[in-house]
Amino acid sequence: MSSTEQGTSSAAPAEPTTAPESAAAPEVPESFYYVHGKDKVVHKVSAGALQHSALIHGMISNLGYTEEQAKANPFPFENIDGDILQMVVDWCNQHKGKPTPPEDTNLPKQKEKLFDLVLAVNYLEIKELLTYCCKQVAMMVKGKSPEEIREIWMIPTDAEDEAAEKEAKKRAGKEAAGETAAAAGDAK
Amino acid sequence: MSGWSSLAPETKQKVVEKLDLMSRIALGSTCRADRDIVNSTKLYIPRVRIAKNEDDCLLMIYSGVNRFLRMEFAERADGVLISRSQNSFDPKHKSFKLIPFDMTFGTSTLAMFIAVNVLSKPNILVGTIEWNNVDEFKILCDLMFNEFRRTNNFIVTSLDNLPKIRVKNVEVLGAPDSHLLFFKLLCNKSVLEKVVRVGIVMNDVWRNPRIVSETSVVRRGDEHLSVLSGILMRDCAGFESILETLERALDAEPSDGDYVFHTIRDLGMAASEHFDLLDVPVQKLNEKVTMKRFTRKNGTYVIRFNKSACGFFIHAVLADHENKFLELFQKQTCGIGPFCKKCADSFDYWHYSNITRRIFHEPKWTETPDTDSETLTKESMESEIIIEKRKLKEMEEQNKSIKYKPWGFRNINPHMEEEPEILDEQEAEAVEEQKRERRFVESMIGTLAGTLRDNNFNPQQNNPEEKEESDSESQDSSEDDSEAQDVSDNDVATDDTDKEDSEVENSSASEITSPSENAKLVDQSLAKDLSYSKIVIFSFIWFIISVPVSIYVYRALSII
Repeated sequence: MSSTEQGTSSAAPAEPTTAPESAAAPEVPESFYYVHGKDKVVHKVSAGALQHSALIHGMISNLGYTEEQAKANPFPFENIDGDILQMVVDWCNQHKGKPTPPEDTNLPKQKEKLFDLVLAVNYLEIKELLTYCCKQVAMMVKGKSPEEIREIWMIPTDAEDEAAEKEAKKRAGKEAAGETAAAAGDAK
Repeated sequence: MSGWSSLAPETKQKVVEKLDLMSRIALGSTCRADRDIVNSTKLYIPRVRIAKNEDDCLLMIYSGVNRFLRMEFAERADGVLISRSQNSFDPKHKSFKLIPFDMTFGTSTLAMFIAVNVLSKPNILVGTIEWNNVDEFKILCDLMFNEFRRTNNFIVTSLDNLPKIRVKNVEVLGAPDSHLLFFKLLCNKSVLEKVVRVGIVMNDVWRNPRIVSETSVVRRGDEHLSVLSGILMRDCAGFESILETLERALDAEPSDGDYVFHTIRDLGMAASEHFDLLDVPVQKLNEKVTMKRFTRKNGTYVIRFNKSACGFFIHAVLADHENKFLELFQKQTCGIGPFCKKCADSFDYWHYSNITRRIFHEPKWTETPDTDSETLTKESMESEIIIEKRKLKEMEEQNKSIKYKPWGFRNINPHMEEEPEILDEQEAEAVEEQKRERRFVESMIGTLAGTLRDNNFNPQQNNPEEKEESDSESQDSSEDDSEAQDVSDNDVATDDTDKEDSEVENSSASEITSPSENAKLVDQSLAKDLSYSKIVIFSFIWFIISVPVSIYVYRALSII
């Protein structure tokens, strides 16, 4: 939380109080952008830190926002949980302009959070962090038996998969039949 | 809630990339979708070693420097005892598992079967398969063929359909002919680059390789290079001696259609002064190598002295064949191959620079190398071994705090933390009985296979004289023995197979003319072997049953 501050809504982003790390070298004024996740909490991130994310970097360069515009229109990532986005922003700030170390030990240990982080990082296209996350995920099952892996990662068996697929098909069929019946009723 | 199932296949592949071989296999066993993910993620295995010592077998799969999975297969009365360890040779770190297995054909069958099942995947690339003392390859192929037929619902109809291992180099130590069939049947030929027979010659300075002497052959119809390599622990000889050795090697004429060149790599740079003293204009071979080229024997032989920042190396080739290898010579930038700390792959450098240390780590699975020194006696070697063992012990003491967790293996049988020993005489007798039975069946099949071979399958057997030659030459690795080891024995040729046999006679290096023909012949012979062996076993059983029954009937009749 050193470089970000939580706001309340995307329409009125709160003014960040803490200065970013790059404040130590204020010769060139650094531009800042704003992102928010599912919880609508706005995070202020420097352009240097956002360079880690190929997705946001592409958006910035394509949109050509001024700082005012950026403040008014934070990038919305509705599919990413607030705490996960916070983690990503923290990581980007920590590794801003630095060569990435061979290992990162500050990743979450809880598997649900780790998988959420992997999904977010994959979506935001942060290559280095994705590598660390994948390594962490792999370490969870290294040396484990198939049964243990299935338990740890909650992998359904082939039979369960097939049953779920059948059920989904059935449901889809029922929904389609309902829709056609409704359409026929409307037509009458 | 997010989980493994919600990840994209590309992300899953990135996770799988970080997993070791055994964990990948475990993940691939969880469900079909994950098996597809595992099978579509590339994996490089630098080295696999299969070794045999009498009735026991060893399978080692290396994943990096000092990182390996190790499985030893030993016969027991009720199956095969597999002792498994990871990254350690210490017996304390082994775990054991006894599995019921039909021991009729020995432990090497099981080891080979595991190796082929694990490695024959299109996404797996093996750097080198090392092959120590493994014979009975025909029987192995036979068994594997049947097993693959059974497991694949008899879709596999010929040996050509067996799953292939993608391997770059096949390295052979002490297995005269079995490797030929191995790389023909089980290696993907489009990937195979080199087949190397390695010999190690020790001297006073016996732990550090000093020279590598190689004879490389491109055989007719082959895309890979066949190399006979000798790793010597002594310094390079004088200038005249080097030339004599090379000329002697070149004097042995290659077979028709074969192209040969000889290489000497000086790892200690002791002979690099010869390059400077040679009164021949210097040419720049490429950015990193300078070369001095001269001819001998009225231009028949070409000798090329090369010097790079890493070492000094010599190529010798017949003048007529030089053009064939120019491209290969020009690609050389280092010249000392896997022995170069700077240029070689870190695993290869580690492996080859420690190759003689196997005597300490795995005395059971390592043959004592040849020696060309009178001063290197058994006593001096033993004292060296004692020193080395002491060093190993010190290292182990330092590493005491490290817990060796065999995470590559499942702990299937947690009760067997110690190696179960043969308990009593009865069990020992049972093991011996099994071994006797196996040898009997092997000899029966061998005899039948030999009979069949005379008729329709011509395997690669050396003449005794040639075998002796190759044995003696393997001690002096600078000589060319690749011809001697590879000449086929085509004594018997029936009228029916005259054509095939004459083709085999013409081919060198026990290479059978066309792979499809070869596969057909192998198939036929294997099929006949099987049917004949079944008939013999059946008649043997019938004889054992019928004799007491007839005696009983005779007695009964006489009483009546």
